[in-house]
Amino acid sequence: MMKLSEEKFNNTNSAPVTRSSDRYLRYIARKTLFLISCIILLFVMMIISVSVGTLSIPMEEIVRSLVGLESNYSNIVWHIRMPRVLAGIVAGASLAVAGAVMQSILKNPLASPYTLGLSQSAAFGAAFAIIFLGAGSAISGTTGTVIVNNPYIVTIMAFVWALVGMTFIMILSAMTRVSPEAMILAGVAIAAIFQAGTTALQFFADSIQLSSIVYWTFGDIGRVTWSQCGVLIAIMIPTLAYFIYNRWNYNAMDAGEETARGLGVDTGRMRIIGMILSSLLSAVVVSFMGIIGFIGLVAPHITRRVIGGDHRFLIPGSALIGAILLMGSDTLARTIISPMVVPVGVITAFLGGPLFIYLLVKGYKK
Amino acid sequence: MMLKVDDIEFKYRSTPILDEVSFSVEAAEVVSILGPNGVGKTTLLKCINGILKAKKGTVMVGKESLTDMSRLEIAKRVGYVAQKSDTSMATVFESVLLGRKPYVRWDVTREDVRVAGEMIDRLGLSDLSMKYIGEISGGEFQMVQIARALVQDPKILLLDEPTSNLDLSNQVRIMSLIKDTVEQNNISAILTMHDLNLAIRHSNRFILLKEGRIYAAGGVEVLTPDVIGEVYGIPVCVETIRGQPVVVPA
Repeated sequence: MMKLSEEKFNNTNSAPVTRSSDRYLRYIARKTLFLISCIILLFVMMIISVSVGTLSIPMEEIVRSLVGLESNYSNIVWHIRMPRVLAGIVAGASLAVAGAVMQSILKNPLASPYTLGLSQSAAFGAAFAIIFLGAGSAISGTTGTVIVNNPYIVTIMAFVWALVGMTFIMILSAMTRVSPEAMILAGVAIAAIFQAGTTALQFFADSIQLSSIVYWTFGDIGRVTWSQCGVLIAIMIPTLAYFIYNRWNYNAMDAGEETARGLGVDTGRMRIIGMILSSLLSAVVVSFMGIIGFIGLVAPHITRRVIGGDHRFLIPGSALIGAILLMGSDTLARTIISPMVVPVGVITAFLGGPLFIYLLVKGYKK
Repeated sequence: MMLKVDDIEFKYRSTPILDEVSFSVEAAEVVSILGPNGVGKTTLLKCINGILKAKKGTVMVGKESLTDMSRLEIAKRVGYVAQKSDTSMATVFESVLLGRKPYVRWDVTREDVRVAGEMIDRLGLSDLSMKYIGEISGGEFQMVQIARALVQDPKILLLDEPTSNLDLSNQVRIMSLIKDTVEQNNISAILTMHDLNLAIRHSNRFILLKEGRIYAAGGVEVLTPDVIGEVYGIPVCVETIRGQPVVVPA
């Protein structure tokens, strides 16, 4: 341990009441308490979310269904509400964590799956599948609503094109030595290109195909099945584990490129792997559920504002806040003009936009 | 001998930045690297701690070669205070604790927290420990950066323009802190400096770079008007005030 002559450097203005490390440990305890509170809130909201909807389910019946006892509501709980709630939790957590990591490694508060063009490239893939692979040209005879009649092709194409978008970003940024600025600018360029591509495809689409494309781009959690939930979880858990494992590297990168390298971090490698995994995470969510904006942008900002930028707490905190926001938005989407269901992407944008402006103004005032 | 830099050569694309740079630094010694902007001072520091890979040459700390070491192992031996550092959303304590990163396996231990806390308390930063970096002054931020490098427990401290953008009082405070730390812990410090008089007052030896090569090296006696004039390209006088040389533009 380094020695220093205390009398020479001690701040004589005011002696510390307690040692800094004690204060820090109390500070850490408060952050831990925040995470625990979020877990409790998530659980409460999960129960509420399963309960409300076109048909209200009493709490007692939810518990009976969940523990396997006989209930009239078992089918609704297990086959309609639970996959939706679970998908909301997993997708919200995935988008938020992807946003938190992107914002850190790119050193840009605007970085998110949406602003980096991944959502736009996935939307292009979906539009391509609907128009050229015949995946979305049917109208329900009874309700007149548009049905994507081959969701698997749409999902696969959305995913493939999201990866194509990500690959473009990585190649462009590698050509410029993987700088954060290059990655952001490449993302903006990719977003513009794929947005233009989707518009061009829409120009050639007939009215039903056009409706299908618009329908797909509305983010909707209700499309997700149990097996798709399984895929989302299978990708989220190892990715989240990787991000949590590297939390100290992200902390170092927050302090600046050179400081991080001086602390032994291979910043280029961290940035490439972080971008690939966060893009993969968001690509899976977008391809299953369509475009859900603002969760990836807002959830990390809310978490940062409450518990600061330490990635040991920021990553799990963002995941929890993202899950709460998306599940809460979906619950609102199902109840606000029940029995109609508003696309959750509309709710997240309506809630997220003003919330983001509020955080921005509050931040600047400070 | 604490540090030995031998025949370092560095090129950016095909432009030579450093050529045949060799010097050594003893324990408890503060060495200032001097020279005009763009001469390769920062590049030299980055080559020493492996942030930049030198095209040629070796760096030894004691009997260990840094050239063959991983970044993480280098970070356990060399503390680096960069010229540019970002004001992240971290508190002062978190920023200093980050210096323990090279030793972190899964997470920081209570011992790491104690070491960081002790450094903060000793540097008189206790009252700021829970403040965000963006809320403290430039001088305090520089103290935090040095504290972070010191909790790395380094044998060599590299500081890139540690007093730039600081007022007179903070300049003296930071330089005194560096000199005292180096002497008390028997480590070495290499600084890049623009303020020749501050360097003269707080350094044991000087290395003057010109066009990527060492033009002159040694104690205060090498800082003659001719040498300084040749390196910086302007005429200067060196006068003695209270027994210490002071460089004044002619």
